[in-house]
Amino acid sequence: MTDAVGSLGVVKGTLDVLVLKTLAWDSMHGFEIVTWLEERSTRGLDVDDAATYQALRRLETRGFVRAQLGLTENNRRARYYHLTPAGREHLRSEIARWNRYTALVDGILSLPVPRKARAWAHR
Amino acid sequence: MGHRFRRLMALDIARRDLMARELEDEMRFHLEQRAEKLRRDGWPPDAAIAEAVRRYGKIDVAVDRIHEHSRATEVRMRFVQMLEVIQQDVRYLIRQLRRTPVFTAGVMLTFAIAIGANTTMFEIIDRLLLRPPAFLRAPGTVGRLYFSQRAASGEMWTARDVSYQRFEEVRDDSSAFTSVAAVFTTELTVGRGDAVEKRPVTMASASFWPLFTAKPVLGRFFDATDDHKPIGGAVAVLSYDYWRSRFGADPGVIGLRLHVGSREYEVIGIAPDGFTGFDLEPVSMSRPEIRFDAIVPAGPTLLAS
Repeated sequence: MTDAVGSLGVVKGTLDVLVLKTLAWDSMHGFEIVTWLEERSTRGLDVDDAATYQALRRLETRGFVRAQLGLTENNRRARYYHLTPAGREHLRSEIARWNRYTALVDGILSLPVPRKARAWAHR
Repeated sequence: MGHRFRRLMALDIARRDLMARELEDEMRFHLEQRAEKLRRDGWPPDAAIAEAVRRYGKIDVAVDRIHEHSRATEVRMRFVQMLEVIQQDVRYLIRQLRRTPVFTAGVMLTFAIAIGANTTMFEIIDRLLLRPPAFLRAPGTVGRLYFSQRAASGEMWTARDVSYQRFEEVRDDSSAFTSVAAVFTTELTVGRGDAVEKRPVTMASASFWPLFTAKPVLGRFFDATDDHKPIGGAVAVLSYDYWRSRFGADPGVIGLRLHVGSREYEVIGIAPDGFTGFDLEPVSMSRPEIRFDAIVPAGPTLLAS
């Protein structure tokens, strides 16, 4: 209910990279990751809580993140996730891939629409 | 508020393992945090809990996933733990060995000798039993022929050698073989005067050479025209190693006359490096020891056993 109007669903496959990016700076527990993503996207991204944890499971299974038990500020036990060297490498290559991809799509989408095509579209 | 969530996901205790519990704790912790955040945003407590659960999705599915994941992670973690244990053991071992250098040196020497002996033994076995002779054209179809006979006492015995006559009988009267070759290796005096040496010499029929893919390094091998009765032609092929060590790999050796036994032979060719005929001799220092120094055509008098 706090979701911003017109929020975007996350493009398939990008949630894993977003989670990796979250952990690039410091280790965090699950809820920190969820809120970090919410705040950074100014709630423009509609990320399901469960989806974030599923992404964490995937990343853990693939060896990109590792979990360690730690204590929160309120002395609660929580699983803290951190990037493995493989995860850091994966994040780097995924960012590069994403940049190439968006540049490509952007290049196509910003082409001027030909006059004829526009006329046809209005018919 | 914690107990509510605990009740919400009461699981089959037996199936629960440490990893799964950890993940369940994580889910419970998340739901508590989420509900609290919603309450701070002004949600009524019960509605906040319901909303937290709604956002998390179906709990049953989530719990199943947790178990699935915990199993996969546990296998991986067991492996990692095993590696860590091995690493610790190795470190401990190295520390211990450093503390007792004489003992360590003794153990290492023992290992080194044992490994060395094993390697040598393996090479011998490999050479003698497992690998066919070098250059043999069709190892699968070539065999050594033995004749067994009954002695007067009634005992069976197998002869090491056969007479030249028997060889001719097998060659001419048997259709079982595509080709039959006679080979006999013995030690004969080579050279004359001061330079005379006892060297291994192989006598072979001309049909010996086509059984191999070997080509002479120099000159030629002998053929049927050299292999005649009553005694083989006075020509000899030298082994590569003998040519190198005795004649310094001099190409002028072709045509040289060499005393072998009681006759003089003309050197007509040099066998290639590594050619050992049918004989697989024990290796010395990983180099095959070539048994023959010269091969001369077999004749009846020479092969008579």
